Amino acid sequence: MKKNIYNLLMIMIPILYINAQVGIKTASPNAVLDINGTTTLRKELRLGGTSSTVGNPGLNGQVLVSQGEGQPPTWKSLNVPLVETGQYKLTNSYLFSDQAGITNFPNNGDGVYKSNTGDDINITATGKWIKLEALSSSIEIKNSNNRITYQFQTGVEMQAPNSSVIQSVTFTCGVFRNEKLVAVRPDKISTNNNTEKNGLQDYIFTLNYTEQNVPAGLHEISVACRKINSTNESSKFAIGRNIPPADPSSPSNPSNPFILESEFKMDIIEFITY
Amino acid sequence: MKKIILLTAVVTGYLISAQIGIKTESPKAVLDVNGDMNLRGKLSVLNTSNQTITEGTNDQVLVSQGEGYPPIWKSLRIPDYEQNKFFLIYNNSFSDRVGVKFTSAEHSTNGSTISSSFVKNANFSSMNLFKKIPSLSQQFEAYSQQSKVYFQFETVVHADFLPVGNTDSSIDYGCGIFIDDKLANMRLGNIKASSASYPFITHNQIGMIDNLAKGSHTISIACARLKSYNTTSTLGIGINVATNIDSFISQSSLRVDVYEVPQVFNTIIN
Repeated sequence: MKKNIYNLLMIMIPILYINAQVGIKTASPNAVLDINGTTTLRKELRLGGTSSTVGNPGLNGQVLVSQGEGQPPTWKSLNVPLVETGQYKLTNSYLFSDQAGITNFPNNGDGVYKSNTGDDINITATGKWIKLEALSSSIEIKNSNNRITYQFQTGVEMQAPNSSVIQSVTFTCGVFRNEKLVAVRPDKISTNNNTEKNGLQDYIFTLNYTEQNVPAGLHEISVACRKINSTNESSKFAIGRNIPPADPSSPSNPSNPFILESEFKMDIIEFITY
Repeated sequence: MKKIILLTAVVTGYLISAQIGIKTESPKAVLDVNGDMNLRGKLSVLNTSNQTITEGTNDQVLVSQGEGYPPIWKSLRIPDYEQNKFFLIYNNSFSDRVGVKFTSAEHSTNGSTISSSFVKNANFSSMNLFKKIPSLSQQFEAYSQQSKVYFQFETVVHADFLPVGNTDSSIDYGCGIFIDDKLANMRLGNIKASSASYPFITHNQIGMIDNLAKGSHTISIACARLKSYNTTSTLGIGINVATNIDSFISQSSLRVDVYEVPQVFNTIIN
C-alpha cells in the first residue's frame, strides 16, 4: 500500500499541495506548519518570497533575526568589530593623574640601590617607598593568559642648597601589585651650576613596563617612589609636584604642580578564546 | 486525503520525493510554507564541512552561508563592553621631521612667569614665542562625555653647544600639549652642555585630559625656549641644529589615545 502511494507520488504528483494547517507529530497544529520534533535543514533556509519569487537565503555570515510577532524573521548582517580567537587584545584600560605628589622624602636616601620582583612595599630593608596615593586602584583580570602594560610619567624637581655647586639625587619609582614590586626604574636628577637657576632643576621620569600572565582576579595596584641617595642632605626633592616654597606667600619657586603632575596608565591585554 | 498521506508518510519515516507547498500551489523550495511555521523541537542543520547534523549549542545564532548552503549555528564573537569602564575607542599616531628652532634671541617671556602662565586650560594666545610643531597639529574625535585622552609625545632636543667649561651652559625649554588651543599638559626640561659638542636628549612627554566635550578636537604641540644660561647657541626641538645627528633621528612622534566609557552604541544588526 505504502509503496503504491510512493509510486503514485513519484509519478503523478511532482508537487504536493496542501491547503490546510499541517501538524507533524501533533494533532492540533498552532501554525500553518507545526513540527513537534527536530527539524533538519540540509539546504538553505529561505525567508519571505511569494508564489512567483523565491525567498531570501541570506548572505554568507548574516544571522537570523526575529522581527517580532506577526513578522517573518529575516537575515541581517552583524555590525560589530571582528574579534578573532587566539589573539591578544586590549580588553580594558585604567588611567589616573595626580598633582599631590610626594614632598615628604627623608633628607637622606635609603641607600638601597637594588630592587627585586616581589619586594614588599612595607619592608624598609628593601627601600623606603612612599606611595602616590591618587594612583592606587583595584583592577580586574579575567584571563590568566595576559599582558599588563604599565606606563607612568611624573615630573621631578630638586633644589641644591648652593646654586653654584652641582648636586644630584638618585631615586626610583615602581609599580606594586598587591603590595609586591612588579615594575621598577631608577633615575637621577642633577642641578646645574648656573646661579640664575637658583639650584632648581626639573626633570621628567618615565616608566614603561609589561607584566605577563598575571593571575585572574582582583589586584590592588599602586605606584610608589623612593629616594636612594642625595649628594647633599640639604637638597630639596619632590616627585609629582613642585617643591613647596618655604614661605607660601612669596613663592620663590618658578614651577607649579601642573607642570610636574603624574600620569599613570594600565592597559590590560588578554588572550581571546571562545 | 492529501493531509493524511503526508502525515502518514512523516510519522512512519516515509519518503516524499516531491516539492511540497503548504498553502501554496507553486512551491519555490523543497518545502514552501506560505504562513507561520512553529518549531516545538530543535532545529538542526547539516554541517557541510563534515556532513554531520548539528543542533547548535546554547546562545549560538543561526548564520546564513549564502545561497545553496544550509545555514549554520555559530557563536557570536563580540568584545565585552562593561559599564563604567574605559575602553580605547580612538587612536592615531603622527610624526614630524620639520620641528622648531630657536635662536638665542627667541626667548618666551613666559619663562619668567612659569607658575602663573603654565596652568591648565591657559590659552595658546597667552603663550609668547611658542612654536607649533607643524605636522603634529591634528584632529581627533571624542564620542562620549566620559572620556580620558592620553597623549604620548616624543622628540629630540638638540643644541649646538661646544664642550662645557667651568660654568654650565644650558637652556630651559618647555613643550605644551594644547587641545583646541587650551593647555592640557606642559613639561619643562633643561639641556646642558657636556664634554662632547652638540648634545641631544630625548624628550618623552605623557599627558592626560579628562572629559572633553563630544565632537571634533584639535591637538597641537608647541614648544618654547624659556631661558638660557651662559650660551648663545641655537636650540632645535624635533630637528637637528648641527650635523652630528640628522632630521630622521631627531623627528617627533605623537600618539593620541581616546579612552571612553562608551555611550554611543550602534545597533548590532544592520
